[in-house]
Amino acid sequence: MTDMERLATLAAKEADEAEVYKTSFRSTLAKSTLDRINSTEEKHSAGYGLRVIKDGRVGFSFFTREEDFGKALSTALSTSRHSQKLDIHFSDTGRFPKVKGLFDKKVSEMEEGEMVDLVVSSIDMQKQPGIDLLENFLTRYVGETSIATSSGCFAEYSETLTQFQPIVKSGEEAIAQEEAQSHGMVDTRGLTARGIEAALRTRKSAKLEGEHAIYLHRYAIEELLGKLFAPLIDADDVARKQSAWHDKLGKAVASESLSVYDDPTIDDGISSMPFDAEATPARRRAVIEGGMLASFLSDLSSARLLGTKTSGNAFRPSFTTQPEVGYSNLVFDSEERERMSEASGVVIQLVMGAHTANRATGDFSVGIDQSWLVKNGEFQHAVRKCTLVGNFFEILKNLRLADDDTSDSPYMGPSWVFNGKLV
Amino acid sequence: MSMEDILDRILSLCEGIDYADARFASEERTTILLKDSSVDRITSGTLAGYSVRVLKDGSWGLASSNDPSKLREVVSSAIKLAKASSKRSMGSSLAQEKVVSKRFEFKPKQDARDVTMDAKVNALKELDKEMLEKGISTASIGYSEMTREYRFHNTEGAKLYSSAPLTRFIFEAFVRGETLDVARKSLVRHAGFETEKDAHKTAAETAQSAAMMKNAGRVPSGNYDVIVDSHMGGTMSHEAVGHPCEADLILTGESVLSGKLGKKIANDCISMVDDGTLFPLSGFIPFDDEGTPSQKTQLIKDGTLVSYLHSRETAAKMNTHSTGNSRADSVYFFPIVRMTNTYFEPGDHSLEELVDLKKAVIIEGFSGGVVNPSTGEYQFAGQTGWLVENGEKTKFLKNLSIAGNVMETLKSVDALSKETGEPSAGMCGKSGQSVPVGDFSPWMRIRNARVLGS
Repeated sequence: MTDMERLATLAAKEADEAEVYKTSFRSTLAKSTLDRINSTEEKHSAGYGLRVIKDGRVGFSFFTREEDFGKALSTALSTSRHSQKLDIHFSDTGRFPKVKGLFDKKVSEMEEGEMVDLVVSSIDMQKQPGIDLLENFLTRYVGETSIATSSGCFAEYSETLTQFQPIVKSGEEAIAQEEAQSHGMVDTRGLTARGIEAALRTRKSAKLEGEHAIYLHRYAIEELLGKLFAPLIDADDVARKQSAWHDKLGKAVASESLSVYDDPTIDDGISSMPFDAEATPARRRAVIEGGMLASFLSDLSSARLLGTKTSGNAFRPSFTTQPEVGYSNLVFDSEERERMSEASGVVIQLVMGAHTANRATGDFSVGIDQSWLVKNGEFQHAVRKCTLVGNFFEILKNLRLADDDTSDSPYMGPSWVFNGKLV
Repeated sequence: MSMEDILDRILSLCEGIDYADARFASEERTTILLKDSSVDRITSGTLAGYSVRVLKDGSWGLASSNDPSKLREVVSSAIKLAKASSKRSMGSSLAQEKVVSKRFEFKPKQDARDVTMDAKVNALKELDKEMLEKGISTASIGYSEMTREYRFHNTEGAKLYSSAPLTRFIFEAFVRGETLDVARKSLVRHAGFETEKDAHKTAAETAQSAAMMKNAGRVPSGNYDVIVDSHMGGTMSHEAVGHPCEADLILTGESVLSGKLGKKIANDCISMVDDGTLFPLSGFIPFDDEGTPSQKTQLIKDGTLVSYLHSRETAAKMNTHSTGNSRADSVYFFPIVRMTNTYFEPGDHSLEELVDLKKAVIIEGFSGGVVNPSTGEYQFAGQTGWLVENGEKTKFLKNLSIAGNVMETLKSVDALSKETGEPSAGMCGKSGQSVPVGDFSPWMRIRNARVLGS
């Protein structure tokens, strides 16, 4: 019996069920400012989240040292008395899918000096005419997640993750930022080259207004997904009728060629994992199929509120928080694709202010940056910062997909293509 | 080992370095979330952790842990990181400041840790009931309490300690008409559970605001004379002026205010301040994360930019003194230049005088926004507002934003009210770190501003 299983069994002596969740990690950051290494930092952290079920109610507490387990158990039992009676049960399974490519030994063993060397190499690439250096961030994460329940479940996996973000400036206004993640070593030089190209492209911009074909890059898509799409398919918001799609299951919500999947089982996927934060085995799930809303994402509690089974989408930002609903790898797919090499319209890499959108009506107005006009796939000129206005629901209903699929972020899909208005 | 012993031990292990500081924090936290009149979740526990920051040959290294048995490993890691960074050293140094030993301890009237969970949940349910009585569809109430003990030591001999609670009530009121609208307000103070007494007023205001949104209208996008309230004005002081005044952004050329010190950047009626000494506002700090006592810093005086916000490091680079604005999200992060509480100083007008216009728009509340510090372009969404015609409020509005450029807006403000409104509290994000801040403002009139409505 592992220590985790022992704690879960011990807790269940005073509760009906118990679950112990543990994360331990080491993260390292190397950051440069202008042409110098600004700072390097390393964080070691380990801690436990303890959930109990008593009389159908969930209680929670967290602790960092095993000797504080007794106090945490007492707090969890005390908080359970006030929770809503949901009659959920913690995971009792011991079978999880094998997901490859989550851990890279080289990343785990990389020395701090190697990380600094990679950032220095990126700085040196950026030292060229027309480019002003700003900042580079390289992070490395090495972590382990484990869960034990009093129902006999024990699950664990290890993960490495690297992330690189170069930010470069060209001229007075053009600031370009690129970003990518990988469970292996992220391509720092490739990203730096992309950042330099984006900065040089947007150095001199021209005003552009009116209706255009929009090619929305994955950075901009992720902003809209987090602020607008995720709440639509979150079972907790659906159960409370705070999602505009709460009554749309089985109905058309997107263009009929579009399918969207939440898939934590993809090998090497950035948000892949064998199980979620409640030890529910990972599996691929259709969210939208052929334009029709196929399912919502849920954890144990929100599924109970909705009267369904969990979809295995429980996430915990930290051991100090209870699970909440989130998406893993979000795959956007369509058989019909538009070639970026023939694109004519405005490519938008960054949007800002999606959180000000109206979630009920879908109306939004977002600032755009790192954008340019293309004709037959050829760069024409950068577009001066302005505002993209539109309706998110209408965009989904008329959405077309390009052919530039990416896999270096939790959004796994190509650029979005739709008709939009710049003001 | 006590907190003090751990920090002394850490510094004693720091050999062959030019400077080091060590931080330790212990936090007791409880959060309760009430949704649809039921407890959605309760979280409670204690966290403790420490870090050491080392300066060696102009390069920094920082290492942290929540495991007290790893002191030697953590110190060794910080020194190793600083040495690795010296390949391209920043040439960092610290401005000379007076070495301070200080103890700040605040005991609230009602320590939240002494209040039973039953009493807290019942209080939230009572607040929920009062909100529903205002005619809204549903409410969400977030409550959190945190008592933080914090200690800072450095190799110059500084030893500082603080202990204070921070209590938050966050209200959301939903109203379902043709669309689902939401109003949000919060009450955040360095105080104990006595804050609950004042939370009733905030809860009622949130619900009233949402109830009115059911029949609110929209205003067409266009240019209007705009009067903003304390929430929107305070946000503008923080986002549009405060961030561009942060000296780290000045040094990298990312701020629209680079090179503007001593220059006129706003109309004469504008004066603005950052003040970390304002207790019990959420941005209060007795001292910053480099051990510099907090202070009141005048940023704009009668329209002229008179200071930036500094850490000891940026102050050394710009040959001045720290303004006590070096703050970190937690001990696990490097301190960077941050605001505390920001505000525009009051003017000499009444609100009636400000709205005495043929046509104008009042914007109240703040529900999100963005600003580009390098260009000064911004867009801030209000929660509600009023259309003003011939000096009278004629139509209640919702879903309206103000957009523009900071430098132009500061020159378009022509009047401020005598009274300032309720302070707002928020979490300010920068470089992946989040710290509590506060802001407030008098009513402020901006001529010919861009309003995004329907």
